[in-house]
Amino acid sequence: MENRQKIITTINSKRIEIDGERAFMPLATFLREERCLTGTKVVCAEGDCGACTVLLARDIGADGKLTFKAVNSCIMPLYLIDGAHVVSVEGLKKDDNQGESLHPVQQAMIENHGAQCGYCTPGFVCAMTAMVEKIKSENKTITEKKAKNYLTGNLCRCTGYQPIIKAAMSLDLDKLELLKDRHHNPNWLLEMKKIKSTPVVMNFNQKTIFLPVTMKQALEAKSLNNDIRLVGGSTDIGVVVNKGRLETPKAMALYHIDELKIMSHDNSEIRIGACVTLSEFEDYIEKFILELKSILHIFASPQIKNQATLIGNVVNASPIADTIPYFLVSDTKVVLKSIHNEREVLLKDFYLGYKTLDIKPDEIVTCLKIPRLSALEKLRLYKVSMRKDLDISAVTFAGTIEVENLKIKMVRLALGGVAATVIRLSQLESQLIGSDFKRETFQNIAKQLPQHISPLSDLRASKEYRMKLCQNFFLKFFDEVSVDLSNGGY
Amino acid sequence: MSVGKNIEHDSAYTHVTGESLFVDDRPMLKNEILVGVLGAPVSSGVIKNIDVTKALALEGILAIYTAKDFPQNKWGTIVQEQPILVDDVIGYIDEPMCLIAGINNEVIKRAKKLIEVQFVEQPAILNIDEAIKADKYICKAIAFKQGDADLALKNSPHVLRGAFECGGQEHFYMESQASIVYPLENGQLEVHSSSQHPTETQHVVAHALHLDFSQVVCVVKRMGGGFGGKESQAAHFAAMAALVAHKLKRPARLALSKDDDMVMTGKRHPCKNFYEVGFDNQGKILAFKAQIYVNGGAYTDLTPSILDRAMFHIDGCYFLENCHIEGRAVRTNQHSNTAFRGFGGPQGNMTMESVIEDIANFLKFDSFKIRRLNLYGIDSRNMTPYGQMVDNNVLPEIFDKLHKSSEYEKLSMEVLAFNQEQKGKLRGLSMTGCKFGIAFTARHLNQGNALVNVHIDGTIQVSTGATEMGQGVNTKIQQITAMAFGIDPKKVKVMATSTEKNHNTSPTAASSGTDINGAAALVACEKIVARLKMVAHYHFQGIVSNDLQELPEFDAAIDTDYIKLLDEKFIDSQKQKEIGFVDILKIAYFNRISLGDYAFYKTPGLGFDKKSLSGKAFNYYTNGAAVSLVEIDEYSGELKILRTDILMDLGRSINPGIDIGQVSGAFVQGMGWVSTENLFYHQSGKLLSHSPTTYKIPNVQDTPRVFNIELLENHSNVQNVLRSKAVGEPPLLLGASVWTAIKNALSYRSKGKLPHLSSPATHEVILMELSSYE
Repeated sequence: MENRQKIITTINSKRIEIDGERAFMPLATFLREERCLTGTKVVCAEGDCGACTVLLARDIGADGKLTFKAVNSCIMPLYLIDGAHVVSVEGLKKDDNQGESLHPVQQAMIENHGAQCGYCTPGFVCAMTAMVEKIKSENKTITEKKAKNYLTGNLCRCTGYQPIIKAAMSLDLDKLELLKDRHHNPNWLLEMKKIKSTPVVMNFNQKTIFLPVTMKQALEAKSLNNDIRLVGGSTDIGVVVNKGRLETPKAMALYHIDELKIMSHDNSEIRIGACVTLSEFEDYIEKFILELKSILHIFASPQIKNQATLIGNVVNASPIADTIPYFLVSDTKVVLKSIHNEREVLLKDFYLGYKTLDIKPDEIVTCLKIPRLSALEKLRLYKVSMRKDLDISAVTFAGTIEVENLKIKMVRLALGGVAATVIRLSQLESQLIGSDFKRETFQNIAKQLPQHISPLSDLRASKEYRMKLCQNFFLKFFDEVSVDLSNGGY
Repeated sequence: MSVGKNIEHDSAYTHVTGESLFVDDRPMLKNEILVGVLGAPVSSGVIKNIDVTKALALEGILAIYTAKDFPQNKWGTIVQEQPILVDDVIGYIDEPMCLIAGINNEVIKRAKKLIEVQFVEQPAILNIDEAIKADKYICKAIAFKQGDADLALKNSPHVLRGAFECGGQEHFYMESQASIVYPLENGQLEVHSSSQHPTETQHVVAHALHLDFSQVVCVVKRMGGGFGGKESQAAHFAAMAALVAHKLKRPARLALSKDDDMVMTGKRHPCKNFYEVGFDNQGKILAFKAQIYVNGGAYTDLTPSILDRAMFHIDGCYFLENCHIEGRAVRTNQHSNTAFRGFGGPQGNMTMESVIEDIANFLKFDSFKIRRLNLYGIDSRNMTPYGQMVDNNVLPEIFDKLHKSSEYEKLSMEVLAFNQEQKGKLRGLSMTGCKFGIAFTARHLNQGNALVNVHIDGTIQVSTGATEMGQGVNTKIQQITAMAFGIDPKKVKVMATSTEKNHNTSPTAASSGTDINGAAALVACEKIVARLKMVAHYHFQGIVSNDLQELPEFDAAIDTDYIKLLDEKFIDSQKQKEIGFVDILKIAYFNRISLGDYAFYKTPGLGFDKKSLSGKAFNYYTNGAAVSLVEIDEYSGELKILRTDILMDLGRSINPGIDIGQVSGAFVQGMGWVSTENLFYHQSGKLLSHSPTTYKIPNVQDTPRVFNIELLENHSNVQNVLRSKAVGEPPLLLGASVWTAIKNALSYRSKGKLPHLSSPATHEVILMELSSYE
């Protein structure tokens, strides 16, 4: 198979080729500086304000059409949009022989005073368009709650959001043409498939970009080139690169490898491949573990979840990563592959210390195996941050428990944000097993907590607050589970 | 008629299509240079040496400048004491110190790391308490007083003493500080800046480079938000870009990153306000004494005026028969704090709302009763502590109407019932008000001028000193102009603000953008309309010009009132005749009658003497009230706002859609200030919350679940243009209702203690207060 030395992509229906150093450039910078598309704004350069939101279609949906999703272009290097179609705010207006017409989202924003200063507006318009693409495709209707969810990743300092919510609520989905229909072009889809089946190898000035199309290519590359960095959605690396704290001269991204997009399950476990994004995982997990879906709901913005991979969150190994507490209490395993070997490691053994992993230089994490809950287990996941949504946690909690005859038969507990890694509280677990399931038991455990954890103070929370939260989590866990049990509910 | 209608924002179309041009969206010229700013390494100290050799050696770095490169390095709106770049004494950490001119941002980032600074660190003063102890003050204000506070305090059945503390607030305008300077011939500079105050920007640039004011033009097309943060503090960044452009004779662009902007620029003033309040068994305030301390940061900036406004607003909406109000601004080693929507008013107002909540908790009354009892009266009990009478007082009407429309009594009973059950959730309810004084308290700023050009196709360009930052001032001026000429607002363009069209402009601030500039535009329009009506009069009378004889000059003796301008026509209302607007313009043009005019406006009747506490500090008051219902998670301290109802008096609104947008935006910003927005500093003084990852402005999920905004019908405000009222700042004060509602919630668990709450009431602050009751 032949290699390609450039990125091929489409921006607002124009085919564009990108080679050399520019492939490292964030999409937002490329749009603004190279394409004169200055509607896309960069405010925070860290994916936390949504001003740079654009629509990205990298995959073809079940209906054979492009699926446009909102992403933060400021932290998305161009090498992540190979074979994709990007629509920026400038591409929403329709300009054909019938003249110029606005996208209904744009019209609604005008009519409802959704724009004041205008700086966040292009990002909101794109995020709202992504909402429309998804909701209409699923034959659902726009509710205020859903509108807020789709706009969680966009900050506005002028409007107080009311006019923007009104604009979203005023949309008539029946009358609205979707981008995936407007941009449906069988020829491009064919070309897109072709693009995605050719590996990209770019070498220049001691820099490397590699986009393998098979697992074998990826593993070979990792084995030959131990220091090549795997980039998933670039939602973390993109930030540290933008802030000048890291350079990524050698990058490999796996999104052209279809087998890594797998999501499957049997009676005992759920398997999630390395390229599954958080939003794909959130949709998939709903029918298995609702509680996990709820925590993913306040995890991050739609933009971030559309970019970031679940395995990226796990491998990034932050002590405040929001998915890890559940994976710890469920005894989730990571699957590691190298060119010669494949092994599985329990997540709690995978973390050796602060951002230190049990992973060999030639290994790639390919899959996560998540055990399913037993019908008798009660699960609770908590997270507290400075702001409810779109915020990094101060403390996280996961607890799963089985109660029989008012005794605790099984319990597994994890806390995040209180140590160098997310931790399992094995000692407390063994103490709880066999104890009476009553509030005093948990109050007692809460009292002992200072002997087991010593959280630190930082800008998100003081150590006193962190301790108090953890103690209260135990009480909340008991209170909620006992309500559950008395309701006979699951 | 275009006024009073909900027409779209004049930039709405280009905002939603992404075509609106902000400073950093201007296309790069071929030889344009980028400017980066390096900040000071410590909060306090003396710089011994700055070695830029290594940084300068980088390919792509053209120059690096320090304080000594400025012909005049000091600036300041009130006192010229702030260095543009740190001279030798460091005022605060990250204070601009070096300018790096480079061909791209990457090389500038690398250069920053190569600049070596030698300095001697000194102990820093980082908060109000430390400054008081060290006796470091920027200024002390003259006290406001009424009655005899000491005597009344002595005779009060109940006395409470305490200190209200609130934190600062980052503006978080989406567009960070930005300017581009183009060098022209003869040392002239064209400055494009994201500035609320083009004239000050022009002056600071000229002053810094020893140019005449006439050599500098400052143009402001629009800002991506201002909120006060670009009133004074846009100017020195423009001067930095100007220095580079002037020295290198190339266009220079300085667009701060959000992180740099947040650590380098000033914020809302944190306050610590000590008070004593005396009241009777019903909760009527008999005596009030306050000592306001605002943290001005390292330099004077606008602090004295902000302190004044805090004092002007510490009465809230309540009559203080016997009071004594003092104020001081401390100097600390922090970013120089500056204007922020409300300008000290919110800090003053919230102090009183907090006091009222305490009185209610002390007497175990509902706080609404206390508020209603102490509200400024209509015929009596209506004198402010600074000797201005509250006239046309709508506060009682607003409070009573909102009490009813928000179902306050019902909600209050529900809260009581809800909190009696222990379900891990706690609710609170509170109403607060605002009585915001409209006018710059510096009288000379209450002036504006406008230029109106009518083109013979019937379209109009208007230029004023007002700057557009999203608040819709341009749209309102567009509507006023369209109304004056009886034409469609689409035919009116409000042009970029420029100091060559409008001179000596005041900042677009103090909520007065439309009040002053809209009024000036209206005067200019009326001057042209008078001439055009005369032309129409001749036309209706059958008087025509010929090659020998033009139409006669303007004749004041002729009454043209019978002519109406409506729907692009001049209408003779007596004889039912009409002629098109454009037709009259053509006649006027061919008769050499001017189709343009310029006008000046000053707010009449203002004048306040601080020593005698007499005169009129404000033109009028904008009033409003809000009821907020909040819910607290007792396990985590997390806050949810279940419902907010707002009733605002905006007089006769020029554009209700824009005004309601101002109300919801200001309320949410105020709500953020008192809840999630926590400026977190390292013990070295460094601001650690310098991006949205760590500094939390409200997002869409944080807004009230139910959010009702109504405007009060009020046609009595004859003091202002078209009987409207200013809107920009006042509703921000209502964010306090969220905070007082939290205080109310806490009172259900505080076991008889007065809940002690500082602002912002973060989740942490709430939970730690709750756990102190255990």
